[in-house]
Amino acid sequence: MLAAFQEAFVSLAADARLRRRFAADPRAALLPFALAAPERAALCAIPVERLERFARALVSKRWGELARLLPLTLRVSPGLARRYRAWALECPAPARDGLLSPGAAEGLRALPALHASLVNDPREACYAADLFAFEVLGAASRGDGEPRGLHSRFALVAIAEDVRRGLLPVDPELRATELGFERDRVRWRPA
Amino acid sequence: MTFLGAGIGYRRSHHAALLAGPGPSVLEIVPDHFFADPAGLEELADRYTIVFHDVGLSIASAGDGALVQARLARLAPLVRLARPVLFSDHLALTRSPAGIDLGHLAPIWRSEEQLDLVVERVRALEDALGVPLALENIAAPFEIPGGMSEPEFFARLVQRTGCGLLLDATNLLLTARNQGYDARRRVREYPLEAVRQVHLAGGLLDAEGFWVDSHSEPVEEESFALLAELGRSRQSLLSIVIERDEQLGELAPLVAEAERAARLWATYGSEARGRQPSSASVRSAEEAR
Repeated sequence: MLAAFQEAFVSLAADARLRRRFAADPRAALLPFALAAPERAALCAIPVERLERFARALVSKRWGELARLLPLTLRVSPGLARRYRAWALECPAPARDGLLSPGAAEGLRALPALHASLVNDPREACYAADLFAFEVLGAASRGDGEPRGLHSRFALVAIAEDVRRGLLPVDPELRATELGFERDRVRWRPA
Repeated sequence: MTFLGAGIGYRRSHHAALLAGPGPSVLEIVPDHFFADPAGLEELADRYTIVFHDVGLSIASAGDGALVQARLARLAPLVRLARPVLFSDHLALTRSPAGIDLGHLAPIWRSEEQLDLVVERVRALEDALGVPLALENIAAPFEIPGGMSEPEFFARLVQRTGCGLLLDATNLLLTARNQGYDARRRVREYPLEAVRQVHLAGGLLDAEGFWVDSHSEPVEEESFALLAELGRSRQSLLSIVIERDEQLGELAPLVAEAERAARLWATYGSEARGRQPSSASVRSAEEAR
């Protein structure tokens, strides 16, 4: 059936774990899909290295769309691309319908995982995770007009302004802040 | 049909310059830019001939079509607003039937069952949108063995639905390089009399020696040269669109690239059917004008 074939093919392109099983034993990897023999044969005939390259290209395109929204975070955390790719290769995205641009939607999807990853890495700036959330939530609310909120331990608006001017705060003081993102503005107040 | 001219793909950073003019003859718009800002589309539609170019219908995907219906509900008001002369998407899938999203275009297995599904989708989309539809050939990362060739699939699709072909000359060229065949010979196998639009862009060679449709470079001479093979499209072609996403720069150089494509088409479309130009003969064609 066409649906089963497409499910298997898209899963191979989107899921690194399935591709590893496919590379080791194609027929076993495809067992969960109800494929007819010609469909299985067609998938097994795709060169594994081409499939792998395609999967990486898909993730790179997603990253390109997300990276456009993160000019400040990327100054503070230039390794975010590597961190994102490692996560995205293992985490297929659900299809969606909405007003958000692909980059903003991907940012919201990646936010919990990458925020946690940045918070838990002592090599990253202490505010890097919150700055990432600041840019993602801001872009999402600018895109669809939905209000979103963020609680931070830092004065993120001031930090963002410093980073924009090329200054990377080394040890900013703790100043808990509540931020609210709307289509046309960001509001904040001390928490 | 009348050739409307050459144009460019709309990018947000050019919005003000497009309103200030002078701009291209045709503006190709990805509707997602305006789902949340229809007024921005209206002011462009007042000034330009619009074609819509979608990347989100996943027209080849099997499944219940709920996402397609949701997307059509967003598209329909924009179509009414901008009155595009053509609506295009890709002969590709971007998501699985159960809802895994790839975020980009994936090749299809060109089986009989797949053809039946695409025929059904094309008819439904044209009915729903009330605009002529054209489907685009993608830059394929690989072939899924055992199906029809892409030209045969398009030919049978056109025969059954009357839909148009958006021939991406650069996708064809880069796929030909990656898969090792002659793009000029290959293009003649497509149903060229159904080509409604042509895309031209610039790709690049990646570190692994694979050509990528990056939309980051000026259009290559070899892509321009493929226009000379489209003599059979003289009655059907509406527009040629330059695509650029990366290293975007100012509007004027893109408009100049579009104008160059239009000049070449004026030469090839009327006089040079069947020629096989080299880069040098592309330049000769321009000098002759």
